[in-house]
Amino acid sequence: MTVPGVSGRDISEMLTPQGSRRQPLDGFDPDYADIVDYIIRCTHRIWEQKDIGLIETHYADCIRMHLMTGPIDGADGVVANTIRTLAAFPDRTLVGEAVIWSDEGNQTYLSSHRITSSGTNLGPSDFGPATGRRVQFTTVADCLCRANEIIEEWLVRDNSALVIGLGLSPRAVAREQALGDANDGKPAAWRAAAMDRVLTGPSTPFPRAGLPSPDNPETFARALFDQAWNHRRFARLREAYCPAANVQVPGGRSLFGHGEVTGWATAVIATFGNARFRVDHVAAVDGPNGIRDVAVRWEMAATHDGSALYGPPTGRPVYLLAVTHWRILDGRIIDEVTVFDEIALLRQIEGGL
Amino acid sequence: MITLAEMECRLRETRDLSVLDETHLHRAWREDALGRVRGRDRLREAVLASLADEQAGAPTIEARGAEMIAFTTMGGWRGHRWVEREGDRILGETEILDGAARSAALGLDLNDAARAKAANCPMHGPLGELRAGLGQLATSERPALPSGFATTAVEAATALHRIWNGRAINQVPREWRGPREAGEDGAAFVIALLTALPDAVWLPVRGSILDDGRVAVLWRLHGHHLGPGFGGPSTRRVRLIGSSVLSMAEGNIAAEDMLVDTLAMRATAHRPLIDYGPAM
Repeated sequence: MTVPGVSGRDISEMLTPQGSRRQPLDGFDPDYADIVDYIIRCTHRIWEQKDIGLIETHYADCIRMHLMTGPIDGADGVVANTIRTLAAFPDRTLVGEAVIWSDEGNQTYLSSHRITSSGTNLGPSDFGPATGRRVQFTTVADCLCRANEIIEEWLVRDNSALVIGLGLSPRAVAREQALGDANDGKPAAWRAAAMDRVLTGPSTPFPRAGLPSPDNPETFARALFDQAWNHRRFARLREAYCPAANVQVPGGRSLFGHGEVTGWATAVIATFGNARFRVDHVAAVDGPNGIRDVAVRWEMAATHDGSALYGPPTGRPVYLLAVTHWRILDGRIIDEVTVFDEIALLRQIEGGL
Repeated sequence: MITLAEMECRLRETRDLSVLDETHLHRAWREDALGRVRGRDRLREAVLASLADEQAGAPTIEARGAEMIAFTTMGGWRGHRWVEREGDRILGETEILDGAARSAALGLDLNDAARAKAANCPMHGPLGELRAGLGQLATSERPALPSGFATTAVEAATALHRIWNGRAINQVPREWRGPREAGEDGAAFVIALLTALPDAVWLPVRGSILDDGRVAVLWRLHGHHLGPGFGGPSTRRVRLIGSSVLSMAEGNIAAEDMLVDTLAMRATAHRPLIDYGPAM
């Protein structure tokens, strides 16, 4: 049986009871028909209906959440984070833009859930006192789900878009946070290990062949990151992207077409000259009218040795955890949303974390 | 299914904003040259804020299709609206209004209107080149078309590509209408815009056939405001969204009804720049 995505479905339709199971979900609550239903419905219940206690039945006690500010262990941390965010943005709505999932075997599913959050900053947040401002920002939650519980999560949020929306300076906020890190300028152990994982990965030979077809999303994603990003063959981006591609990257920055997409890649590498990229996970689902949605979770480790994006180089090591969502049509990327926590990145540049 | 014309009338004449619940997905977005709002609730707020200044009244629908309409409001300024659908609901809207004509009709000073429009729209610095990967090569004969571009609109897109990217200004038709400030001389307007944005590139986005058989093309014009006119030079990168309704004859444009928001171009100069530099 087909698992419907969010495409073409209004929230009112998605939140009506979905009937019997559409895929094997042993151990999940009986009212969840499939993994997409589980993600959309439990997000609505926990965040919008404020049934925070449901975290107890939807997150494993031993969950590890991976963020660019470091891992959080245990469901108690999830509850605390959720309540703090809701106190800061009590009217937060979470519009599910995409749920791109993969079957990981043994009725375990990886869901890459992209959310547009809207809310009013009525209470103190991680970024300072209440501003009264209305904001919008994008989050991607990559959740590994089994038996009704999220057992591991990789959470990336466009915090710089949020900070800019609050009327604050991303760099000033990051610097303030870095001052509180008290780490003697050295990366925290978790970050050192993550950077080591990326930097010691196997290198690949110079890619002479063109990009493979996105008919195999995993091969395509790995090849694009290898060729365009690791080998700096930016010309490959013109093969991969539609000339009218819309791309959203952190800070709410929107890019259009080959020139600006290539410009972003150039600016990233001009900021982090020795950057190495590692693809962690790829998921893909097919939608209507030949559309294919692909989710790629990836990491970058580098040294801040250039000034293209974030001011004069500091020589500090940086680590980046990101998720990219592509919408592919006729073999080319027509839409992309890439999310990482640019405030956490700037915090590293300022000597924190 | 509610047509775009019906939707426009319900919004502008009766102020029935509940129509958006019927026509739009909850994930719907709306964009103009300065950015995008996401979510039906925010989109409704944007519509309400825009209508609040305007006199209620039925718009005159001048071109209609499944994906696009062109209209003139009760106040006398024109608009083009494009939509992207998922199923029978609207996922996204691209709105092109004659912002300068609207400001004049509302009695606003053009520069004040530009500043007000820019105030809450901070912008990032520009990234990348405009003519991607072409270097010294001359403009190609045909434009680089997006995935899914309607084959019935390729001829029209190619003709616009020749005008804007090839600078074949002689091919701007005599029968031409654009933003009100352009007057009736299409070639003069194209020259004025390209003088202001000397490195401008024209990029096709979508094409569509209208109910009356004309062709509509949604496009972008990106360039740096390095020349005089339209409140410049500001040196800023200007990212305009434009739309053309075209009558074609033997591969050429016989008549064009186009719109681009020159107020948005003026506003770009006043947008606050997002700064990632070291904190003081």
